[in-house]
Amino acid sequence: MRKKPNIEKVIDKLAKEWLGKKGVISISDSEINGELCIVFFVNQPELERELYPSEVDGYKIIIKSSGKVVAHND
Amino acid sequence: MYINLVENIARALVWEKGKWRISKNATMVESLIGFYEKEYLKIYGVGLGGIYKMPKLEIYAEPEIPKREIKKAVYNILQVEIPLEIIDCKGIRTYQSVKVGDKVKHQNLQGYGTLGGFVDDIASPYRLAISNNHVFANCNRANINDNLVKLQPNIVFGGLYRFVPLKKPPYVNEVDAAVGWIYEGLNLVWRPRKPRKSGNAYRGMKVYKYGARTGYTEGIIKGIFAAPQVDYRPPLGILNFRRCLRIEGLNGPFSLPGDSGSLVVSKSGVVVGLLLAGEVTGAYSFANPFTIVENQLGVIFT
Repeated sequence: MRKKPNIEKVIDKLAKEWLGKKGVISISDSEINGELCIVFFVNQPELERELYPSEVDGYKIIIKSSGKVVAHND
Repeated sequence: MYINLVENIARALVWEKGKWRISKNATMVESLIGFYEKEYLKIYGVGLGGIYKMPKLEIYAEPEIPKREIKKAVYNILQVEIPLEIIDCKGIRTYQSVKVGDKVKHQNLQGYGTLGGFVDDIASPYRLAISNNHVFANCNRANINDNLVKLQPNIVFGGLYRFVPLKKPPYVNEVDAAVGWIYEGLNLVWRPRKPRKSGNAYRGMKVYKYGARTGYTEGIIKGIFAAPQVDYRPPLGILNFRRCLRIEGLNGPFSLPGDSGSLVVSKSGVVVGLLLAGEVTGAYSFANPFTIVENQLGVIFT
């Protein structure tokens, strides 16, 4: 089985490519059922799954709907 | 100087009809904060104690100085052996304090953030208050030594000491962090308790924070390499970050606007993050890894 690249490097690469495009506001690592995966948080009223990759470098891509991220001063 | 004050107090004690009593002309001298620290006796204050019919002179003195030495010195000054009690005292401090979770801000900032905690400068003996650049340094617009203000009640508690500049895209930021020096004499108070050390986070770690807006909340770290775009509003606009911790609240939002600058601490007392932003509805929050904050700011948690 092919060894997966480091998830931090994969996220850095995806961030350069995807952040700010097609509603992607953050990309994060996560763990689902003990398996490492990558989550795209997308600020779009209608999620169109096919706009985004389903797997990159062996990591499954999950798409989640999200509001925008704001600095937390009041 | 302390001799005059001891004498004034002692004159309040009058020997009359076989008893010591308080003179009708007695004046109380209290709260002589740190006044005598340079004297070899290390007396921090004097006062009238005892009960009404059995008054005595109280002397608040450093425990390491032998009590008989202090008594001897006082009797020499007064030329009379009055009732005297030496009370151990390691100094008297004001009750004004800055606390973790206080609402704080740079002097020109509209709004507020959180005083996260206290760290030590690597290059000096200063103990510093820590929060975000966008709280203490007004999004890069501040000058070193600008006033840092604590709200409710409003007091200037120190000045800006150092910050990591925030940079616009295409640059990718790693921290939003700043530290300030603190005026001497203020009590520094941790809430809910002082963490043990700083360290790294892992996915699944249970954490808490104490923020100025939502107080104590608990959460769980869901990601440790998150790359968010954070909206700082003009003039900075939207900034890119990498290697952030992504945290979800366990019972409602982990943070809301006003909590920026809170330290994120594991349930076992390890500081793992410095909170900076969150999803607009409070669904999740972002923090910078604390070890990176320490490196970039030149500070250390001890």
